[in-house]
Amino acid sequence: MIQYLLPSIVLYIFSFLTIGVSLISKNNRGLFATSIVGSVISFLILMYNLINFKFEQYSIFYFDFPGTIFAILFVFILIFVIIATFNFNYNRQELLYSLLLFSTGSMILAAYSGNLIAIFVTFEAASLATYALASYPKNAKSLEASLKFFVIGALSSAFIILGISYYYISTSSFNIGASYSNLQLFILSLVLMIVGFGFKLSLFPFHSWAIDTYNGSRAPISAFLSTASKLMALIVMIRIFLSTNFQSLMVGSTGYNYVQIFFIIISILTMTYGNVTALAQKDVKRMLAYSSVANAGYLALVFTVTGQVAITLALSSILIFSMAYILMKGGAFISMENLESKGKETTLDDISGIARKRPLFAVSFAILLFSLAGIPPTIGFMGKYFLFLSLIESNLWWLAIIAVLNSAISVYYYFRVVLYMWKEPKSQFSTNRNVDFVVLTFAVVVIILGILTPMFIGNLNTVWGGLP
Amino acid sequence: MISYSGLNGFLEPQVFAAVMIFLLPIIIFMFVLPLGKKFHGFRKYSGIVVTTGIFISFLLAYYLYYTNANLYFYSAWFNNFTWGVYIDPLSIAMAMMVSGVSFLIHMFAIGYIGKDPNKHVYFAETSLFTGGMLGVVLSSNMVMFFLFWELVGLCSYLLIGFWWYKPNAASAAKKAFIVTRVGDVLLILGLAVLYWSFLPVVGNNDPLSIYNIIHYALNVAQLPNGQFNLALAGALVLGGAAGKSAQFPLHVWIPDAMEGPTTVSALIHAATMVTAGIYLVARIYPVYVYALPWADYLVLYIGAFTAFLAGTMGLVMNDIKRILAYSTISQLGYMLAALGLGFVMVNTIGNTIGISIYHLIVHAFLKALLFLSAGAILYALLDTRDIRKMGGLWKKMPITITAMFIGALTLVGFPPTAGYFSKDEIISLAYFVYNQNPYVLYAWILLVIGAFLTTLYTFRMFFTVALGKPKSYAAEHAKDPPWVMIVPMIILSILALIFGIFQSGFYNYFSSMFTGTKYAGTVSFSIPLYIEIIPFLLVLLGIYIAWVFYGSHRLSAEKVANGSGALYKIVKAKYYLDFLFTNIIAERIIVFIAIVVSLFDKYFIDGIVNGLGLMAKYGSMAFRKAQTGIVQNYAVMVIIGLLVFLIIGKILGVF
Repeated sequence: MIQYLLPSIVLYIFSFLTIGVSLISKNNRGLFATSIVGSVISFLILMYNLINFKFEQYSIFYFDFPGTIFAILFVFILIFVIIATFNFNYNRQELLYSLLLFSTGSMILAAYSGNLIAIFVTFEAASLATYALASYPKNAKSLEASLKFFVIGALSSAFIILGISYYYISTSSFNIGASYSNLQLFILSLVLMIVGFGFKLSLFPFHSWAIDTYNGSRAPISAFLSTASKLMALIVMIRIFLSTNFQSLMVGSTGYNYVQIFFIIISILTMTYGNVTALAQKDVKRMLAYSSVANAGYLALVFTVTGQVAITLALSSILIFSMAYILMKGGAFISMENLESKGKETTLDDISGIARKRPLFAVSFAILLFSLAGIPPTIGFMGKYFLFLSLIESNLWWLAIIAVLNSAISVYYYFRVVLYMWKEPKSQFSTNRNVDFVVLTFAVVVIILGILTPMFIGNLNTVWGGLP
Repeated sequence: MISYSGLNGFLEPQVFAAVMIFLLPIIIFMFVLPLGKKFHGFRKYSGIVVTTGIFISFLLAYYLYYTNANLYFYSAWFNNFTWGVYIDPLSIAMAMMVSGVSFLIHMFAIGYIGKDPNKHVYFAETSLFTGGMLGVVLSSNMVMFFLFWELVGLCSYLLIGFWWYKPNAASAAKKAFIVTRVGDVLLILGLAVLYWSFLPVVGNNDPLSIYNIIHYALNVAQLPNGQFNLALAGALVLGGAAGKSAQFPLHVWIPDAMEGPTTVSALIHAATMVTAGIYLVARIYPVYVYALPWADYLVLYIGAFTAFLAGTMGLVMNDIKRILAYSTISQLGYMLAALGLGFVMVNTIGNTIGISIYHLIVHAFLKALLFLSAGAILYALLDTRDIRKMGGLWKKMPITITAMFIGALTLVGFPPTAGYFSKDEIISLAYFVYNQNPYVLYAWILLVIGAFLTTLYTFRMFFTVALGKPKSYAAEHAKDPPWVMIVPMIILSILALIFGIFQSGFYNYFSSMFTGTKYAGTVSFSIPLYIEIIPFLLVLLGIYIAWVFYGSHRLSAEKVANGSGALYKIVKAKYYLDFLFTNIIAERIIVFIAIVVSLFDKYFIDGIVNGLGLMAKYGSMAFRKAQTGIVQNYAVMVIIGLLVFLIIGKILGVF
């Protein structure tokens, strides 16, 4: 048990350690080193856990394969966000690192939680830290974004806790997959939880905060919020709605069809709204924020799948898609750090011609955009491919067609950015070596994983097996 | 046969070596092209880099042969298709031939193409071609096979048009691409039929894997309509093979393809790519074995008829490269006919694949040799290709013409060259099969006449080029090329002369393909001596007639041509096949269909697409208004969303 808790414990310890270090040295370099060391240690422990993986179950924690993978993804993005934030040069930057580490530590616990109370506590611990993180450039725009995030977040927490109460009333248990005595209350609790967690996942119509927050925060913070924090909500929802007990309990009842329809409608609306609205955006970062909403729609597709075979495939594919998502979305947002001119919006004209000045960065960014658009041989293509395949497997081929059409729309606005990058240069560009390094790494990983994925997707099905 | 799969299988030394065989030249291609573009100094080393890479591929292929590799590696790819390598004697022999001959021709090309300013493009493309061709022969799956098949087609197009500024070259490249495309359409239809006929037997376990095609064809044949499906698939695949291997009626592109550099003709249109079709038919031999017999006769008679027809056309050409091109078509016909013989009389299949591929490899050596010596002549004569302007070259460039003489003897099958062991074996086999099956009589006759025609056109060309007096200024001042071009010719000459001694060993190696199947072992066939000697007598007769007309000029060929009247005209016009394809089918029928389809596309399909685009645009304008930036509105949206879903729940009767 301790080996699975250790990564979060390390992160918590280093979270406080950074504050301690800031008392001794006024230099950002020490803070940077401390937080990097902490997250790398945590990452190594997680990799060790993955290699020596053994399923363990305790009353409130499921130490299982998907949880471990998601934990690795969280720490992975954490490391690169820290690298990208290195030269922020704010006053009291120790809080930034401390909050990042603290939040990730809680996210890892949330990914392992199998009990609604544990989920709520870890989820809130992670969320509260992210509210503060969102304020980080500390200008009017970002403070406003942070406050909006907090207000809507508090509202959604109310929904979650209300949902959990109903859950307890109908099942007299906080455990996931408990059998219910009152179907109506049970469904109501599920709906409230979908609303509450859907807020974090930025599903339409609970998404509005996301646009302002991702747009208002500093780029690496937006990357963290739009990937790690979103995937935390995803893994929690997967645990609740795709667990084997839940499925066997619910399949066939009217309530199950209702939840299914709920998810189908939400995912269609989210995809379409995100993609169509992104078309009209002039600001690249805002466009990415909308595309992040659209991707939440793809992520939500996993809940529409029915039948054990399709669910197994969907779980493997959502794992691939999450990997893809964290790489390409995280990478794309971090790239914005290089493109943003301070405090103003970044229009397409502002990035025009960057390929002439900084070809390596432009190529890496373009690869990430290709991956977002789902062009082979990137991992973005593989994620979408297997996800849509699992839809077809459960006879939702029409939903797959809608998803593919959405994907086609998205190609337009992603490629527009690529097109502008190769035009004649109009302005000067700031250079940030750390960001270049991060983006290049992500682009390389996107391609390598895209090529390797078909090799291990077969093994994944057997390793993943099913959720407890 | 050992099966490997997944990442662990990939790291097996033999599997890894097999994958690197075709990957290495492709990787080199990716580096040579940009490096050559960026650094002009690199261009003169591009040939050496590529040649070395291909030599490493050859060594890897030899390693597979040396370790007796016999394996099937597959890894998940997409849907129910896998990718991987299928290594057995057939693919190893092909891989060694392709990489070996390609290595020698590349070495020759270092000298031949050396003065061209764009030589890095040439070497990059031939490297890509070699990688693609090695991929064709090593693929374990028909989809992967088809991708590589298309890749070599593309390279062939690019390389025929390498001197794109010559209008002939540009249009020849286009013609080659379009004609082989007709074959490719048939091939892909054939693959579709294969897919659907293997699906019930193999299930989702990759119906187009070569392993499954070989091992489950019998089960497919036992299904209702199974034999017919196999025959249909076989005939369609044969269409694809005919396109690539230039069999009647899709042979029209090769003679024009001679507009490319001679090394390209040697590499692609004589030794390697055109044999891909033969390889394809041999690769999926169980499909034909278990198919209805008409598909088998189709293979046999297309091969035999092409062997005869191309021989007649070779007689009347004056362009040295075109004579060799028709000769290539004719020899490919022999290989296809040999396979057809095995399909018609199934218990000889253990022999025929070995016999056919043996002729393929011998032909690769001798035709590469002939083309390289033709290339050396063109190099010396400043691209004069008309044989009537040559003459007397044996004295001017002795090494080249001696090499050509060895090539010519091997081509006609003069004992004891390798050609005697390979070609006469096919003719003897045809007679043996005719004894069991009277329908094969005409194939035997066509093949025998083909052998006679081969001799006639080969020595017509040789005597005109080598003997007599120089008939142009360039021919008077010709001399042997530099050593880098001579060494490959010498190596190929030696191979052409002595490869015959490997005949029985080669057949044994190939019969090991069938170990454990009911076709294991070979059929020993003997035919009467007076039949066996016929081809040899015809060779002697052919050389004598060629000598009379073109060596000593005792009789005039023009008089015979004029005396034969319409016959000569028809053959000279290549049986009007080009006219039929271009002027009637393409310009009348296809263009009409194209106009109708384009109108449909313009008004119907584009209308839908543009309409959707406009909808998205206006929708976008409307949606963005929802983002007011006011947090109260967001909260209201959340509440409204929840209410809407609760109402839906009420309607559905959940609450």
